Amino acid sequence: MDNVKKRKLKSLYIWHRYAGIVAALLALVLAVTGIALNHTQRLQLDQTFVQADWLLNWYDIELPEAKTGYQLDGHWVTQVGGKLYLDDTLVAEDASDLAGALAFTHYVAVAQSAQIRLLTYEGELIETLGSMHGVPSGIRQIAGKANDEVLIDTYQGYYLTDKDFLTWKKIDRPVSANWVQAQAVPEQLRVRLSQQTRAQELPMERVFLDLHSGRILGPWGPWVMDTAALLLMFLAISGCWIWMKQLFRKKRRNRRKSALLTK
Amino acid sequence: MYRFRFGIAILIAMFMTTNPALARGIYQQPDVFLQETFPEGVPDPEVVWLTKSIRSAVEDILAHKPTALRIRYWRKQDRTAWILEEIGKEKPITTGVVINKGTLEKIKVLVFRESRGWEVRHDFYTDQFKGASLKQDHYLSQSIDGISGATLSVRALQKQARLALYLHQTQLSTP
Repeated sequence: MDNVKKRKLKSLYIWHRYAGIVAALLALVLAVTGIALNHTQRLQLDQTFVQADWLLNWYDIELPEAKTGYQLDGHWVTQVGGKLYLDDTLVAEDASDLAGALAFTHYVAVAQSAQIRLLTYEGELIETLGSMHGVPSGIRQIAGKANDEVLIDTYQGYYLTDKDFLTWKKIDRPVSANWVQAQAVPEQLRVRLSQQTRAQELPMERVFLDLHSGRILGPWGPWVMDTAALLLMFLAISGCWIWMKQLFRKKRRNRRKSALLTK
Repeated sequence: MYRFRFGIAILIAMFMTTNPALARGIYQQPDVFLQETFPEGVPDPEVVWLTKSIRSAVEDILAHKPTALRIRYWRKQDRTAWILEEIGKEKPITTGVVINKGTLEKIKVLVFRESRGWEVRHDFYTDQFKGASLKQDHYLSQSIDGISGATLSVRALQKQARLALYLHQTQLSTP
């Protein structure tokens, strides 16, 4: 083999080696995240949330503020971001705007703009009432009446319902009503709920998907992973090329040897 | 030209029948379903509280814990109507079920939110439930043919039918 050919092969070796080193790390990330994503349900990646502050900061997930709260016989109904809490218990993750809450002997009625949730004091859902149950949309305020009736103020007018929220009746504007007023949420509870809500914002599945696609590194991330893919393609081709070269060289050497022996 | 138009019409028809986005939606408003069920006037709703014994049977039927502690229904003599929600794959399917004297009179998909399995709304499927009652083991008295590609929706509807029949039984003794 002449020197030029040797140098060429040597340089391909070197490129193959360097490309291998660079691609190895990225290939490892791709492989590990790929396996994990293939078993998302078994690993419960969609139900496990990131707790690490630095990662939440990396995703720009801010500490949500407790919007409004209603105090009921020592219990607090609070909305933090889109989540609804009864004291520290998360009761709904898709809460629309909180309009008020009323306490009854065995349960709590939480009025939101488009629905009413009936909850036990332990935070267990009794029933979610929506338009299907005759609940008018656009609820603004809620008020309890002396005879256990409930008054609702909506954008469509005023409605009266019984304490079981079974029947609804449209009424004229009431002369007086004791509308439930939002209150400032105690500082300790506010901080606790904000932190709790923030820690439920980012599922592990999202992180693994972003690691796999490279998006975790921002807009340039996918290009990094594309480079890794190109490097892997180069490795496959250069590896085959080097192997074939060696194979041909070996065969040629063997042929020469056998020719010399026959002489 | 005629052939071209005919081809376009076929393509549109295929799109209309296969596009999942068009299959999703409200097929009947629940209040209209109730008015249709009780044309002489919809009775006031009543509720079934899922007490310990009822709850365990409901769990057995649904194969998961019920999402609420009470379920409402509408009753006139021995006829009850139920509007139930059960998740097919990811989103709830709202179904109206009418039970008359312990047998299923009608089941209708009211709101379908999933992207697949909407075929369960068709009469050729729901008609199979007519006349079904509940066996001792809380399964339906008659077999229901499935629909390929709609297994989870089929399962959800069967659970709703069984649940309505069971809850009807529990309430029938109540005056």
